[in-house]
Amino acid sequence: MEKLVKMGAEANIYLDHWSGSEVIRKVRRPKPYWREELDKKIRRIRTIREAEFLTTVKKYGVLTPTIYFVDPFKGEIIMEYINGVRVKDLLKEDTQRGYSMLYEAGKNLACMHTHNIIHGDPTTSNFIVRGDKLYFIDFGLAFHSLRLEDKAVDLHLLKQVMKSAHPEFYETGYTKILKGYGSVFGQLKGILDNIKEIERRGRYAAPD
Amino acid sequence: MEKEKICLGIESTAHTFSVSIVSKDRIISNEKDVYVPPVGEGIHPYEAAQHHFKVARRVLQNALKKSGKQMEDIDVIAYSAGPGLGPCLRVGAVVARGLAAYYDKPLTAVNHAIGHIELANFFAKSKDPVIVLVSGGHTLVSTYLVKRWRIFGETLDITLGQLFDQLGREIGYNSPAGKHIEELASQGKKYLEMPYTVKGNDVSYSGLLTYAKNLIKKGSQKEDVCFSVQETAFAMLTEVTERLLAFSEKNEIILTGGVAANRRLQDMIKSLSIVHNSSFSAIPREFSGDCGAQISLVGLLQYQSNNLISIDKSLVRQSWRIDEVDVTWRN
Repeated sequence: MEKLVKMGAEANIYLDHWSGSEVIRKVRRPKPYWREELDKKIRRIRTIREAEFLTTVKKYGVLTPTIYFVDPFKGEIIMEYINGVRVKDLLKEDTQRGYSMLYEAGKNLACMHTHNIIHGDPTTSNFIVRGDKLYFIDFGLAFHSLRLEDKAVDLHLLKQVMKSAHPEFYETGYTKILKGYGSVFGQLKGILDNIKEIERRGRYAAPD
Repeated sequence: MEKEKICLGIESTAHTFSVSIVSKDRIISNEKDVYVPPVGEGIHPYEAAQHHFKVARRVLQNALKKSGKQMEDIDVIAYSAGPGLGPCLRVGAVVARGLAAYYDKPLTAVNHAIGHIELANFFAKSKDPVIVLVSGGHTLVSTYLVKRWRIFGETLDITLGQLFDQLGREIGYNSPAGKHIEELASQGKKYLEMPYTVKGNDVSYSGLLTYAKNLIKKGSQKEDVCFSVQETAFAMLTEVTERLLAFSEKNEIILTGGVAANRRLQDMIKSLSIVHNSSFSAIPREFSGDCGAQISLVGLLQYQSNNLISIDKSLVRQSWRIDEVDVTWRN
């Protein structure tokens, strides 16, 4: 019997079985607040994107769950079950390990950016630690881009999550992320300048 | 028994000059006068400030009269110190300083956006909510964590209020145009596909505005354009709200700010709350726009948690994000 493990923002996550092994079945729910035409389109596009990028980034050394089956019309993906702990929780349970995983996350993000892939949703609940390995999940908002600004927005999102959801770990955590990121991606300075620019455009941001 | 503490709060961040008197569990009076710009124009800060100076005395007297209180009964004076338009903010600050100095009352500086949040919490009696704040100045989703209202997602450029005002201006309405847009949208039938921009937890409306303005210029039905703008813009915001709800694992949603009066937005967020088994509450319509009550209420909370300011430090801050404010009244 399948079991609902988590109701995410977009999708229901079920623990299921597939050819004898435990798998995750991720089903994008129809959204009651989307027009039907918008709903069908967005769910289909995000399902295809997620499947595509989960696979593509493996080539660049970013660990992700393996995909077994995709049904874009039902908005459904069956993939490997990563039985681990989210960095979101790890930060509280074992802060030092959480920090070193944030360093890894920065490295992974930079690997993707080097190959012009933007994750689109890099939050601490989308980084999963199994054993000593870090996995990235949730690629529904991922896309290709050569623009430095898109890469900066990606990192800005992660910064915002650290600041808003983990204020007590923000300073060290964000530094770790940047260190990991900078160890792979050569244009860190350009990215940081871009982040400043993005923040300046934000509402009521005090100019520095 | 100890006498009930009373706060007099002054709001003057933008269009509205308002004075309100509150106690811990009651809004005793809430008087306002709103500056209306000429048709087809936005707010002019200096003219708005002139308006505020003109009406300040009358609004203050009315607020006192309706409350049945004298200045002597007031325990603390609160003013909106930001964020907002400098000339407008200064009017409220000058009045507040004057009252505090003349009547020898303590003074406290309130963040206007926190006012929207806590006023909605006051009505909903919420405990640990996810906040959706939508107005001319703000479009963000927030929740409380470790001493601050944290910004989880927000607009990367213009707010929902600005989107509606600027679209309204294109059609020929003066600001605020939200009500007119809502009315037109309710007559729209055809959904036109528009740019849908969600970046992680953030939204962007500038592309949507340009797109919609171009459609109006090219002669599309304005009802359909307004309808489609609302559907698209609200869906984007509801999506990031859903993301915060899932991420924070909380189960109360509060909708507040001027745009919270929009029925379609209320319906969308309500539909979301049902899926996630959460409670939903929108601020009462009459308190959705800027008002003194949002300032006096927070002013009282700050006074009771000893969060005061001396007159020589009582400045205004045109830029002041909610996550810069130390919340002294919550655990």
